[in-house]
Amino acid sequence: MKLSKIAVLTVILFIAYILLAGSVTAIDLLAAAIASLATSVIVADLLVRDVGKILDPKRIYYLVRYFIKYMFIIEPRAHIDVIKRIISPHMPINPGIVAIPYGVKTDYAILTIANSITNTPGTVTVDVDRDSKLLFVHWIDVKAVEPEECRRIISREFEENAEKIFD
Amino acid sequence: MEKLLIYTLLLTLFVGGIVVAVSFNVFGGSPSGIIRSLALFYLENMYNVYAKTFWAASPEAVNAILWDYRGLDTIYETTVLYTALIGCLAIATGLEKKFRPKEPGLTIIVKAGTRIVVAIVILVSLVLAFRGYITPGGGFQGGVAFAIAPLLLIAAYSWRRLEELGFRLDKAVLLRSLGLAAIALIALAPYMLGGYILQNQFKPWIVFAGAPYTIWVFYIGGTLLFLNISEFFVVSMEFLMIFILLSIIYVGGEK
Repeated sequence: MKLSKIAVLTVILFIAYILLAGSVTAIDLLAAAIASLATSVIVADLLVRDVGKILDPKRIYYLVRYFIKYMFIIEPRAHIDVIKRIISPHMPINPGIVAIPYGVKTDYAILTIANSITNTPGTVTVDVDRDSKLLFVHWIDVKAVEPEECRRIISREFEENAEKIFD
Repeated sequence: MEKLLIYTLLLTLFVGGIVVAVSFNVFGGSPSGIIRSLALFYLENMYNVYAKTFWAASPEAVNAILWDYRGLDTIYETTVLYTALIGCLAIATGLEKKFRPKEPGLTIIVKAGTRIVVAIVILVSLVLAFRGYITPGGGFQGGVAFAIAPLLLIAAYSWRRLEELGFRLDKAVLLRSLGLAAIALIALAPYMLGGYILQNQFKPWIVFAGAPYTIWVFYIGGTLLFLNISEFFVVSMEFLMIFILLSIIYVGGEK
């Protein structure tokens, strides 16, 4: 079990090393093999719980799709919204903290939702309560206070993708 | 609001003024011509495959100077840190460790994020150490970068979790001593073979044939790769020791 974790992680980290080094000479390939294996042995138990999920092509497809959509559509949209608020002379803000429920189970899925919220300007995840399954989010322009309504506006898309990728 | 604007303007002018003053040599000027010729020497010789008398077999100037041209200095620096850590260990012995029953750590978001960052930090630190003689980096830099990983784990989880993962004080002490022993061995081996201490490449006026800068297809830059790896172990484990020593809660014997 641990061996399969290490094997899969080593391959991923090997590719990461080569990308970081930006060179494929013989010594780089050897160093990459040693470095990725050593790193995997240290972090395998910490990082991976279910190897099958990493190798699932459907999850990888959703991950890539979500990454592209997040970086090129969701992020610019949020940036433009906040830029408008900054340069507007009336400073149209209505800040506050709202509670947003989530339905995902795994740590990485919660992390994905929380970081997706934080990384888009205008919303910041400030806390999480695992018992009641709530994220507390600071919102620059509070449009709603009911949890389900907030979830619909802020995090529904993040949650759908996080569930497909990690749960 | 206007006060803030004036402060900002004044500060901008002040910083801008300093930048202009420095570039026009108001505070004593840039290095003199004599020092510049020194830099030229290194740049011309460190990887000069046509005239290998003064070369270090490394295209990375900092690493070449650090381990070849003034390698002894680096060894002394390493030894200073090593000795300082012996002092830290001496202070910690005799104090009784106190265990907290339950340390919850930070939120699940921080923990999950930390796990991914820790993996990246360790990999990057190894890239820095392994490629130190080719691109900017080196054993010391890699070791310091590595130490961020246990520090993040202590902050997000707890020292106990760190220990469960195998980051232990006794292991760190052993590995850093092995690292220093390896450096000493690499430094003394050329002397045993008729060269001078810490000699890297062949010099025409001395017997030692020089460390091979390629082994089979692997370009290793003479002794530099091995010195970097050894230094990585020394420095990373020493910083790990510092972090472990600081994060354990001790109970003194007497009040």
